[in-house]
Amino acid sequence: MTSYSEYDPDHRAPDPDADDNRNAIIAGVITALVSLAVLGFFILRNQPDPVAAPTTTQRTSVTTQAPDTTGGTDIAAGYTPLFTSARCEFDLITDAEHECGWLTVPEDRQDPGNGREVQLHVVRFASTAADAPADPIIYLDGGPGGSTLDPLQFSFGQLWEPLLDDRDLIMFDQRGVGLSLPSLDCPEERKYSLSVLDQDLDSERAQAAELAVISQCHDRLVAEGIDLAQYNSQENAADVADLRVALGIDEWNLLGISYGTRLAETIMRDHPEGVRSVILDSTYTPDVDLFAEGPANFSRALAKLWEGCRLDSDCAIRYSNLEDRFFALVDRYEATPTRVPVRDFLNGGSRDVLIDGEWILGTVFQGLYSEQVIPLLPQMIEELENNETSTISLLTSNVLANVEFISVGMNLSVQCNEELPFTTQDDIDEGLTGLERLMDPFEGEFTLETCAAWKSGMAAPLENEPVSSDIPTLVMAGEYDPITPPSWGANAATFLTNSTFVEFTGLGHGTSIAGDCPLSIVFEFLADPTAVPDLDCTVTMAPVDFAIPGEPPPPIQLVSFTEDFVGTEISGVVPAGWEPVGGTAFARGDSAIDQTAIIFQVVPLISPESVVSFFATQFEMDAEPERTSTQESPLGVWQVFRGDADEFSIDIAAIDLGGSTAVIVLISNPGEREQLLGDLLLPAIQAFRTS
Amino acid sequence: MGLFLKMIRWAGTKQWFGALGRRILTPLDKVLGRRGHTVTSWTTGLPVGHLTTTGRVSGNPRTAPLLFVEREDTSVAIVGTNFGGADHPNWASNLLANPHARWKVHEEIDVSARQATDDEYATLWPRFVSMWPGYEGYVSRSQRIPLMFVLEIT
Repeated sequence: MTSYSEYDPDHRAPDPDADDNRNAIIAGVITALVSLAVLGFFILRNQPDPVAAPTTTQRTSVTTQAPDTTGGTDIAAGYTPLFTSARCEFDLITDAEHECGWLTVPEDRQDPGNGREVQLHVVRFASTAADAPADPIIYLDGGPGGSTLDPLQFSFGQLWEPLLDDRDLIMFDQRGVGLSLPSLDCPEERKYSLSVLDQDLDSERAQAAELAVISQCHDRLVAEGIDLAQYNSQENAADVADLRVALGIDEWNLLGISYGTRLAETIMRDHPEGVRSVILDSTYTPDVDLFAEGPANFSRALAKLWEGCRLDSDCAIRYSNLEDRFFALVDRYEATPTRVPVRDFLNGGSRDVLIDGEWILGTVFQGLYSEQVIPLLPQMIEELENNETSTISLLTSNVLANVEFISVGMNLSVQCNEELPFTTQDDIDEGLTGLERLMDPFEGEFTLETCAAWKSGMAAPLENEPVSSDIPTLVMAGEYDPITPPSWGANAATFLTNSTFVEFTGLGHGTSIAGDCPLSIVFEFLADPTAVPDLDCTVTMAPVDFAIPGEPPPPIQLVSFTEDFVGTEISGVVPAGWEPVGGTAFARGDSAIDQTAIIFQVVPLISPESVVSFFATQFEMDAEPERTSTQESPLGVWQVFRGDADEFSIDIAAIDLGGSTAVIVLISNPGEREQLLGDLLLPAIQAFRTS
Repeated sequence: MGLFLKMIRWAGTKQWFGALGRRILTPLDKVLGRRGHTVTSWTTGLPVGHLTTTGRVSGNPRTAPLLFVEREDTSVAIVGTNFGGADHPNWASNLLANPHARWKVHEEIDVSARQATDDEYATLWPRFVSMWPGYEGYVSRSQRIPLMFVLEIT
């Protein structure tokens, strides 16, 4: 049996300066231990601050080894999966209690003694329920190759925190992905892709350049000693099974979305022990053919879009004949591309992107994933007809923000091992027949070529077969899903003897956490997976409410509010129906891209002029705001400034309160600015009070 | 062969926009720091710079928005309160492992980070607290002394 030495994941440097509050830390640790014991955590926070922990002293982290062998064949296979608690290596600010650690397993389970290991970064969030069941949820992410942990800072509150109402949630980065080690990320490819965003490249040359950077990544990973044939669903599934055993969890529930459903089915097939129930959301089973069936799936979702608009009277009138207009638009931009500035949300600044017909097709494809974006697609098409690019620019900036969260090397290792070996050029050609105008968004031919260069082994025929199981399973699908159609889920359910299939109106790819109805079904299923959950709420789910720009906004009715702003109480008025979006900021939220909002703050020890200047920097305003007026209120005289940032008007009212500055910021569309100044900003100035 | 098609190929069977939450990230979110219901909007209107460190695990660039104090020379000071969290923020750990970073307020510049000396700490900490009184609360909540760094242009 191979034993694993403790792994120090961050290779941290000793820090001789940070030891002076050790007693306070120890006191905190004792408190933490008590509370963790109550919560039944698997990770014990017994480690001094890792930044401050000298590497020369004995580490105090607790390792958890497999307490039994009920989880599988690990010990028989000659290794013991090891779990080590450690600090979280991702950024997340949340009140939700969570603990992190690392699972260490062999890279090659057939040869565990070869010295190569993989370490998966893992987090467990504690349920907020007083009587949370012992069986947690483990989330299986998509991609393949999609990072789970690094993007949590963006997604946790909206997507995952609601699950904590029910039970604990375990999340991790799959092998080769995100923070897990070794990483199969290909930064060379990302760098290249971003460098040519504004270029109109000849297709053949672009493919040759692409293949060159991918080969470079492949060769680098191989030179590092990585065995790419060990990075696939089978090994992923064994990792998950080992994790359960290493954590000492008797039973848990799998939640797989997208590729995560293929991983879930692999676990159901190869490691069913300890799996209490399974949720397959947007199902991608081993037997389907992603690349050959892709054009037909996209075509189906597009047909849904045209039909959805036709059945919505406002959409049908505003955007008549949408299908023909869309393909005419694609042809037009393909012949005459245009460069559009796109913001880089993660790193600041902006970059030019060449928008051509292919890019528009890709944007609509991706847009169909999200019920937030689907309502905007007819509007985006009409905008592009009029050479307006604000919506496609915003959607593109979201794509750029996602680029960092995919491990290309892991994606290729999985797909070249278990998907493409079962797809031929003939399959791809046949799949595209009659659908050539979709330009093959999957680039099947090029992917086959890529896989010829990306050597990650070839899966057994079993990896192309449907999975049969009697584990209780909930299969969820979205009406507009352009990549894993509801029929894939329905077909998977026929092989799962204890399964319930449900399709959601108006949703896209990823339904389980897309609102109250799906979430209520998830909770009811988890409460008793052997019973069929009540699906009544699906019947009354509304169809897509397509955005119609230029409709006059409803008249504003002001209501008073009182909010705590980091220790200072602020009261004032806001329009009824505007939602708080963080502290004392309120947004109208007419559509997913409506920016109209008002922000109230009190900033200590900084002058009104400085506050306005800082706002100008943070909004990346086009010029320093200019003072337009003064307004008297019971608090004194406010100065009002006006500026612009991109397509938004920004009005800032500030007043010196003697040692601090009160500030109100109104963000609006230029067309609505004057109305909102009179109906909102001026009354807000009059009503503003602070403790 | 655009990036969009690559993303379809590589992240196709991932919940799209899922990485960034269900909703679309917008310019307003950037200002509010709205990240999954996390409230960091208190930074609005205060001097915020963006520090890009090298992730000590991943090796990838990591950017964090931070309040800062300008010093009399060209350097600035930053402090790792992590909102009163139990651990030092990851950017601080990254700087300990690799002091070379990039710092952006208006223009992005290369900087080298070092920990503040005791004298500097004593001088600078009151300036942080005067800029944002919440800092004192973070220290009592986290029961640790925040790491303070001085960033110098390289």
